[in-house]
Amino acid sequence: MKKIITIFKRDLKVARRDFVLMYVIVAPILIALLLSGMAPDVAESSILIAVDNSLSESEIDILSEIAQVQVYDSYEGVVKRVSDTDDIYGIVRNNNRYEVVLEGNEAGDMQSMMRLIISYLEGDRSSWMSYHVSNVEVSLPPIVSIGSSGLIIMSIILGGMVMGLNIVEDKEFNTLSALNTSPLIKLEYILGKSILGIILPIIHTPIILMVLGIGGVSVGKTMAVIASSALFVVFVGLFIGTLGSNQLSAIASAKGMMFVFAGSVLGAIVLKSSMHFVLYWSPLYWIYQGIYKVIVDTASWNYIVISSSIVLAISVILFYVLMRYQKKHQSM
Amino acid sequence: MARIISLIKREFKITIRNYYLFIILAVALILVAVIRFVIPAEMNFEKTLFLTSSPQAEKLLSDTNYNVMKENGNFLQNREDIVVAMEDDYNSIGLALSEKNGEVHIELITQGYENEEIINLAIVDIQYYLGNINVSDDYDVNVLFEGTSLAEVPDNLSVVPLPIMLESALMGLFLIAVMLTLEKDHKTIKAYVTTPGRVHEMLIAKVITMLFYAFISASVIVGLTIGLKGNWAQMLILVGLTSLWSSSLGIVIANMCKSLTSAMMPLVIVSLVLAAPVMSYFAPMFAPNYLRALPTYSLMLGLREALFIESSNALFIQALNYSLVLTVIFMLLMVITSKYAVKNS
Repeated sequence: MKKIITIFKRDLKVARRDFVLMYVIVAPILIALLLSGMAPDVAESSILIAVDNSLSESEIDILSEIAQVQVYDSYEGVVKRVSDTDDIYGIVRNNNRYEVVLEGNEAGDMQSMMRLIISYLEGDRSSWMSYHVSNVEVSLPPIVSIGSSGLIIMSIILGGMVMGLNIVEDKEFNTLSALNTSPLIKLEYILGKSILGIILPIIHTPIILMVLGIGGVSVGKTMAVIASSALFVVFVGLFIGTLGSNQLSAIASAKGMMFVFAGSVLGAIVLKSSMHFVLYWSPLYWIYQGIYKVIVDTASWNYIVISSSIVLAISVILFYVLMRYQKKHQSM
Repeated sequence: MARIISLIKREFKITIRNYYLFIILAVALILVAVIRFVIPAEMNFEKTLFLTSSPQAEKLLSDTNYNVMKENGNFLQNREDIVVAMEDDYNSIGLALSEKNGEVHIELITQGYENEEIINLAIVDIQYYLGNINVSDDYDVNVLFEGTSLAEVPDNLSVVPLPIMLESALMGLFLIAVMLTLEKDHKTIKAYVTTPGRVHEMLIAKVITMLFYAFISASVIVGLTIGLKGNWAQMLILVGLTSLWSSSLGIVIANMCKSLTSAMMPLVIVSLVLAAPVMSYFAPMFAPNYLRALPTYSLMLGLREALFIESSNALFIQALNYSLVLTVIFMLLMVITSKYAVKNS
């Protein structure tokens, strides 16, 4: 245990000397701050419509119920705004008819959208069916829930990368060769190197949640997911450390590996849930899903136990394969 | 010149020896495979609709489009099932139709995070779909730039500008910083300054190497997805200029940090900030000024125009101007910070 702590202390000392520790701790928090600044803009975004004073106050009010309306003094003002790089429709009145001004490269089915809006503008509500609106109490906008989960995943990956680069540094400066002649066994070295990487997400998670204003998250479930990711962090670090003979090849192998694993997180965000089975092989997918579900408060303990067990099982397999490779190639 | 060429050869040797060329090609080919075989040609960005209705409500809706809605949506047995399904899909809404006093009553079930305008638009859409709003075609349409529509471009190909930007054009940002820190660690820069060679020649050789890799990566991605269509010259100009300024920026960051691990965090932050405009690519209505101010915003639109729109080059020129200015600025900064770093070491 003493040797493990010594290895950890040494890493901590090196990290403090080059401001690495500060950067590693501050970076995800800084990104969380940027995200929290952007979140209200994203949450409030809706259809944009530019109008001029040819539309009456009541027409503008009707449009304002379904879109963000920007009023310009003249037709030219509307045309200039529509010509801008974002998607915004123009609606003006010309010879008592509505005229829709489009740039031409708008995304989606513009024709249907415009027909809907003009029909709504011209229609009356007397023939509408009665309605009421309820919700399933998911108050966090996706940018916050997905963003915070993504940042925690980033912290996990960073933990592995820091560990991996530290190992490669030891290799480059022959510290590893020197350690091999000492009574330190390989497992102690790996555990010592892992500590920094493992504690990073533990430090980051509460701070990220706090910065993004996410309250009421189950501490137990969050920590269970983070704890299950520890072996994966060690795998990432060892993978980089094993394949990298110097920092350049370490970054190359990290890039290749992360491209594949991070792709599974992206898949979890953009794919319909019925397609998620194609991502089940990735521990990061399960970690992301666990964190996300805990944050939006839809994760049962049952789910946490199952997903964490899957993360551990896949990580053990990956670990085993890596150890076999190490043994065969004597790469550490 | 001969010195720069031999330095470029050296950079190629180092990167090839460290499998970087292999990784670049592998990543480009994986991206091609994802674009061609994983992303569907028609993507549905609409929210998933879960719906349920009572038999009485269905009877009252027999003359409407409700049956089409039922076929296209996900019909569930009751409201509770809708809630459970919605909890599993953040991008979904629910609709429960019942009969009330002989008329149909609509319950729109939202997630809870949607803003008022989105909810109102959903209500209007449902009323319109169920025939409660008369369809009006009594309006004129003025398209300002005819021929710029992207409607004909399959959805999987329409994302091509993003990997070109994030992978090909910006790869230098990270890689060059790694290469430079490696040189620092091995003290080759110190050795190099004692020769007649100048440091900026060494840096230019690195930047040119990155430029070459950017071209390889972009050519593989575009060539195997879009083919020879699109304006390759414009695409390569934008990729090349972006590679130049991003590599220079990478060197500036590396010059300010002592080790790769300490440079990694600033590089990660800069990379993430530069990637932020991707949101506006998928949601073009969300383009606040702080995203538009980033060079990658005009770059991705410029690349899209170069690859898919023949009749216009306004966005290309905008991206070109921005990239040119940044190239000059970051190259100057690169030279200044490098001189300072060499002096300090």
